[in-house]
Amino acid sequence: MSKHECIRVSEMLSSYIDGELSELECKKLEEHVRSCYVCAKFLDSVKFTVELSSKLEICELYQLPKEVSKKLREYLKTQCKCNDSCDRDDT
Amino acid sequence: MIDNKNQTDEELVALAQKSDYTAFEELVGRYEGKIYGHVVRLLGNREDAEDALQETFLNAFRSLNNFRGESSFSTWIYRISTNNALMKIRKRKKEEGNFDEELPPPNMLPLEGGHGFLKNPGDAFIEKELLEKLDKTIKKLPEKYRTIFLLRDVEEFSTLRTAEILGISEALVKTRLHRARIFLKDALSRSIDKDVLKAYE
Repeated sequence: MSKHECIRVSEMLSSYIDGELSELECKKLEEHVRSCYVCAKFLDSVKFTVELSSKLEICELYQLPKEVSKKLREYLKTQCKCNDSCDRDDT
Repeated sequence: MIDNKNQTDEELVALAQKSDYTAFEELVGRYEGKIYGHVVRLLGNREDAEDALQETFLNAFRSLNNFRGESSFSTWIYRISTNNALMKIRKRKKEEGNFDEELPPPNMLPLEGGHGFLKNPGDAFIEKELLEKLDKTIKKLPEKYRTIFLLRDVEEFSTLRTAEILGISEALVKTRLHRARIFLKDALSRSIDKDVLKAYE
């Protein structure tokens, strides 16, 4: 397996995972990965990183605390309601 | 009385533009959680995120009449919140004199650096540890990579929507996203390697 081919494939992995490659490019990449153990594992590793990342969206650390939501509503009420329309940017 | 909950974002914006405050409040309710998560991840702390959240919705309210529906409300509110958070980050960097904006060059060959491979551990505890490691490493990403990575892989916006939110080309989104993923993958691999070595000690 040529080094050059492995480098080319590694650069295309994200686009492959995201379904952004053409049919021909996909086919070439898959052919290479089938016969190159290292690139196959590399692809799995990047895929795993992407899958893991999507789980951060629902991570507890980033949930909106109730008191922050309450403060936001109160802040907006005082800032928006009393100044409604006169404070709007109509440009 | 119309139930705001059944209306689309665009219908609510149209009502809010006619000074219907309850329609605006419904939009706040739909997006406050998402926007809060987004700005906490971008800014790395809750205090700044709380400010950014308030400023985002106030700016949105004040600019409602400029919203012409060329993009979705979701793209528009994410753009406002991202810009707001980035302004805070840049201000902070200026004060700290920190201008490190580049990632180290990526390993061009999969095995360079000797890092192990990653796969689903099939164990909730290990996965939680990896998530924590990932979360910490994301904070080390320079801002221009972090923003794209968070929008694409955490919020799961498309390349096009991410480009629209940030006002950059799709090609740039793709290049930076790939660099960010490889950086994070390498960091996760290294942490697994260390754990494996520890287990044999």
